This record gives sequence, C-alpha cells and structure tokens, in this order.
Amino acid sequence: MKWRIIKTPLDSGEVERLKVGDFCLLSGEIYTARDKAHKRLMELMRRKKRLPFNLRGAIIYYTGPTPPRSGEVIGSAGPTTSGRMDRFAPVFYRSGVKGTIGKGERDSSVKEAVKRYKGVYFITWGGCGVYLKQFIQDSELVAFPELGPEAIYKLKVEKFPVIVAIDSTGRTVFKHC
Amino acid sequence: MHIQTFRNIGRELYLSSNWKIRPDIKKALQKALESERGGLARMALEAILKNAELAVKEKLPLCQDTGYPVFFIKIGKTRLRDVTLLEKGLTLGVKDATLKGPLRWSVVSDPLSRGEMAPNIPPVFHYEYSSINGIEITLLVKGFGSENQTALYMLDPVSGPEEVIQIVVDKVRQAGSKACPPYIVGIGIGGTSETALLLSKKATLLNVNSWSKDHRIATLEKNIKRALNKLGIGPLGVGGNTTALGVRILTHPTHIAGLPVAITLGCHSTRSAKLRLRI
Repeated sequence: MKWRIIKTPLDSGEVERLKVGDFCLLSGEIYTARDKAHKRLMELMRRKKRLPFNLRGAIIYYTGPTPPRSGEVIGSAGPTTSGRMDRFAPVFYRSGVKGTIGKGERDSSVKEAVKRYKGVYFITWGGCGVYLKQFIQDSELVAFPELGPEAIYKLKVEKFPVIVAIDSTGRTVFKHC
Repeated sequence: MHIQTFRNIGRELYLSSNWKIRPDIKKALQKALESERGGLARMALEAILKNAELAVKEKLPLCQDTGYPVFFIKIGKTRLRDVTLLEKGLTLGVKDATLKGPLRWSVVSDPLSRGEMAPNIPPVFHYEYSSINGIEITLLVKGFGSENQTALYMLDPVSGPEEVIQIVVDKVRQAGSKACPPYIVGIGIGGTSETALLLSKKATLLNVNSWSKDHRIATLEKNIKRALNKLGIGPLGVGGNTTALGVRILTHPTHIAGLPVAITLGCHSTRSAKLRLRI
C-alpha cells in the first residue's frame, strides 16, 4: 500500500501511476451523482443535449448526502453502492470521466471501461458519512434540484480519503472476486 | 395515552438510532480491530469507529442513508385500547425526526413512478402478541445498500446444516463489499417464506456478541461466522479476517416438504433501538 496525495483535475499520467490498493488523499473538485442523476444525464447524452457539467476529466462521487444543518455546507456524505451505476459507467468513462468514487465491487464491463479509457475506480469508507463530511469544504448545486438528495452537486474536497479499487490496467483490489 | 407520547417516542427512536451506534456492535468492532493486521483493514475499522464517535458527538446521522424505518411491536398486557394511535403517533414522530435531524428523505411514495419524495413515511410495522407487561417498540433503521442483498432460498427438506452454511457463504461472497462489511448476518430458518424473511430481519436485532441458547443453533452460528471470516472480503472490502461481525439465527417449525432459509445483511453500523412502555 502506497500513500499518495492527488489533486483534481487528474491528468492521464497521474491516473496511470495509481495502483490497486493505493491509499490516496484527494483534493479539488468532484461531482455527486447517483441513480436518478445518471439516468437524466444519459437521456441528455442520447438527445445530444448540453450536459450541466463537463464530463471530460471529471470525477464522479456516488453519494446522496443528508441535508446540511444551517451554517454547514453538507450533511453526512458517504458513498452509495457503485454496482447500481454499472449499467451507466462504461458510457461515462467513454465520455471522458476520469474516475468514480463509491463502495463495493463493479461488474466486468466497468473493469474493461476503466482499462480501455485509462481511468480509475476509487472506493471510500462506506457507512462513514460523518467521518467523510470532515473532508468536504464546499458544496454547490449544479443540476436537477428537484431530485433532492440525488441532485448533482459540485463538492470541494480536501484530503478526502480514497483507495484505488480498479486501476488503469484493470486490476481490482477485491481479492474475493 | 396521548398520541403525542407515541409521536415523541417515534422521533427519539429514529433520531437516536441514526446517531448512536449499538453498544454491542461497537464492542464487536473494537474486538475486530485487535484481530486485523493489514493496514487498510485497520484503517477501515478505525474510520468506522471514528465515524461512530463523531456521529454521537455532533448528533449527525452515522450514514447518509438514514434508512427505511421498520417497527417491530410486541403487544403485551396493556390498557391501550386503540392500537392505531400507536401507529399514527410513531409515523408522525418519524416525520418530525426527518425534518429535525435533518435526515435524508430516502422514501419515494410510489415505487414505480418514483417521483414524489416522502419524509421517510409511512414506516413498516410488524406486530406480535406477547406475555410482557406493556408494549415493546423496536425500531430497525434499514439502509438499502444492505437491504438490496436480502435473499430467500427454499431448500429441499433433506438439506442439512452444511447446505445452510454453504448457501450463506455463497450469498455473502456474492454481496462482497456492496453492503458495507463487516456484516451483521441475520438468518431466518423455517416457517413459510415470509416467516423466514421476518425472522432473518429480527435476527439482526439480537446482540452480536451472544449466541443462541439452543446449542445446535449456536454451533451453526459459530460455524457460519468462521466460514464467512475466511472469505477474505474484510472491512469495507479491502481484505482481512473480519467479514462478519456477528451471525445470529432464529428458527420456526416448518413443513415436511421444505426448508426456507432467509438472509438479511446488516451493515457494520446496523441501527436499531428498543423501548418498553408500561401502559
């Protein structure tokens, strides 16, 4: 296990240096999106409409936070199960998304997409929403406010802990599968 | 008894189960930390414990998935004549807690159109009669990362404990780390299909550091736990010796033609709270 400090936007060389099991502290901008937001983005892509943020080089965090208390930027904000986004992920990697953050295993189509488009899949600490909240400095609504916790937010994170779970060679951290 | 009392109870149970880790689970996590050598496995357990510490201190939900509220209600000797007041009050309490927390609105009113969001109501209610004095209310706050991994198997009646062990191991291997291990594994065996499922949920409410009083069942619990902890999934999937924090089994008589086995996975911070009312 290597410790790494990484910053967004991640360039290709940096992504290719990341190896399975590396523990990284991620700083910079990431975008939240989970089930419904993915479905909406896919529809926009299908209709060749403008997307609410640029996918190229983006990092997507699969999360639906609790609402912030007054004076705070966000509530508890841990990862949701990435597997539910497997049906969308290959298209997103193909469209330029550099990395996704979530929890749990991905199917083979995601592994192949990560390898083919030289991306990365990170996991972070599942079920640790308060712990992870500490590393989120700012939150800005980007799209789909009507989706409530499933809206897309741009988060500014500082030393947010992530682990490389699938690296750009397609290797996975999950030894049991 | 006034509906407001039940409303207060519903609010407090829903908030406190979201903020406070169960003492038995905290103890099991601390013990697990002693058994892990790997850097990432230890870091995962430390993050889980730190999360629990911060949640109770800051009164913030342990997880952003503040769960689907499931009430298990035991009705014993009571003067309460209109039980619907209980259900109405607890429902209002869940709504109050969601707004006050603030907790996430994780419920859609229609499962198919999925349009309208609700403040985590209506809760699910399960009732049973009991010889206790008063009414016992247990709330399970069920996150759906783990709920999605629920399984029901209708095994052949001749399948023995070995096949039960195998099917649980296969299920947990397939769930991997999608439901936030180390898991609280609840297993329901017997009855009809829905009995087994209900028992498997209730089993996740039991103390994870205890075993069944029935020696045969306790042995099965221990054997399943041992087998699961050899899978190597480990805390949050990073590998390690701790895949199951606890394994508990509840059984019920069943039919000569079948052996229902249901599995409910609870995450590393399975949330529940209980309260007895003498009314």
